[in-house]
Amino acid sequence: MTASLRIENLSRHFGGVMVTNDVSLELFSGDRVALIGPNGAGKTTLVNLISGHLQPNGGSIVLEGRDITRMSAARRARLGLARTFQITRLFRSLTVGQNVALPILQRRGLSRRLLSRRTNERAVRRDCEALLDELNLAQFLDTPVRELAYGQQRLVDIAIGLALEPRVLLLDEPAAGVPHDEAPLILSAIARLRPDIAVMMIEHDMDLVFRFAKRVLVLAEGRLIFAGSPSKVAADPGVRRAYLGSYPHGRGEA
Amino acid sequence: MSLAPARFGMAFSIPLGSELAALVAVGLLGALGYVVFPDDLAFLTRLISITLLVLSLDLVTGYCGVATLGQAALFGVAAYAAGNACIAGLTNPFLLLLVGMLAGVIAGILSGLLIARFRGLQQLVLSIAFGQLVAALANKLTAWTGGSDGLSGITPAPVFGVFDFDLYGHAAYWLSVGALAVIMAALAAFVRSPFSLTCEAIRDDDLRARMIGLAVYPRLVAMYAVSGAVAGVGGALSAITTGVVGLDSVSFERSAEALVMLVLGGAGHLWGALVGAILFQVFEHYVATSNPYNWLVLVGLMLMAIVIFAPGGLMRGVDLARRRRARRRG
Repeated sequence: MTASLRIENLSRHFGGVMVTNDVSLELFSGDRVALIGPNGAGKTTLVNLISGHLQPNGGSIVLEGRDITRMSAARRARLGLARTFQITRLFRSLTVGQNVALPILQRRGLSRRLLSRRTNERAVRRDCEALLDELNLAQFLDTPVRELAYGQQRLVDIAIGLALEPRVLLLDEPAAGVPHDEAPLILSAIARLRPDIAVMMIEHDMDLVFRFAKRVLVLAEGRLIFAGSPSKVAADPGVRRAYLGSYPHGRGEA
Repeated sequence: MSLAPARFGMAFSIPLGSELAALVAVGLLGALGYVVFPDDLAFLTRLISITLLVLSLDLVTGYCGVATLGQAALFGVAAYAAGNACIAGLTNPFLLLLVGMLAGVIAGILSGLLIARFRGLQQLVLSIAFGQLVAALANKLTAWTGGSDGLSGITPAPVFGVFDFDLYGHAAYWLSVGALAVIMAALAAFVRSPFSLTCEAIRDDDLRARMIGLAVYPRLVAMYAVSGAVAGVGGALSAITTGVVGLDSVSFERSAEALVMLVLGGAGHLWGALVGAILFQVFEHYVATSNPYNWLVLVGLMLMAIVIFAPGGLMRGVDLARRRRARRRG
């Protein structure tokens, strides 16, 4: 079975600091992986490297058998790699519908149309409504995203990622900053992700990690120090050492 | 904003409704100008060519978020191109508009290739540099531009072989109104297109746009080409209708003034660009004649008032009021 995403010996340094140090990992179709680690472990940097926001100093990234290490971020996204952001990044002056329509237009190859075609718009709208329905956002179709509550904005962020119909989805702390009463929305959205896509989620909330992940990866000082089942992670001496003295994990910022 | 219902609310929309509305509205405005200011047709004609420059600026600044103070370069290059083509013997006014449009597209692509590579202050400075470069060339290449004397002797053939560009300026005026109406209608369709939506996404967050698979740079350059076409028609109109092209048509002041008009009316909004361009120029024209000593002060005060009380521009204010009313009803 070929991996959906294979990373080999990935490295990146800022000045003299190795932020990503010889990281290798594989994600398979249907994978649900949590990436955890203490503050400053380099989790977001790893996602930035994979998504093409940052260039690595060494190593390779292979998406479904294709080497994407030197490709632009846009190209990677077109090949089926989607990500969300730790701090919501939405198209703020646009409506919820438009935010979700954009990745759909791109995926359907309609994003270069200079004059709109109504039939295509209808198909896009259908896709859009189906996706928003799934996330309980249907009533916000024509609402500007900036008028939504933060938890709902996070959902739109995830919806944009899903609208690409990716093979690999990277979620950077999807529940960060979401008020407690809105967190279940995020949880159920994640629970309903299509079963065949590979998902890697950065998350601090261990509750969420245990509910979501079949595998846990632990990153500390840029190195991958643990890969295994969620039940074993807390007992691992290396992981305990990495967290010891940093901070008692729970909800927090990366 | 009204963009959303326009793009998504299909239940009530008439096919080509907003395009027709643009065509009719500009036609009516043209007729209104003709009836109310029959002695000022030369001014109104000039107003229309500058309005096209402001519309072209709206495409890159309002819709793409590109900060530029060099937009007049596109306008001026097209004006010189149309002027030279006319002097060389190509006198059909419609073909001259086409020449200006093509020249504008080329200038737009060149300027886009340079400016769209960067963001923020670098971008702004580069746009100024591009504008200054074109202005300096216009000053030096006297064989093509007439230098500081300007390019004169542009005498296009009558429109449709019948309507002469005479002192009354009727032909010049109606040609301009027609060009503006057609371009407004085309742009009304264009700004609702998937392509324009992706440009707005890039304006809002270019990193996120990349992460959904949109290549930012080529899209911005493409938008610059469209913008150049619009500015080019404006430049060609100014050459055809006035018979001269001066250095002022590529000047920094013209770029800056266009930006002021755009902000005044509301960037990212076609009608905003149109309203801003018309109001600013009409205000300037009448205040300057009625109060020649203090008119600049009055223009400055008006701008301050609008930026403070309607920060998104006049049209944005109108939009917000409309939405607030709709919400109170619903």
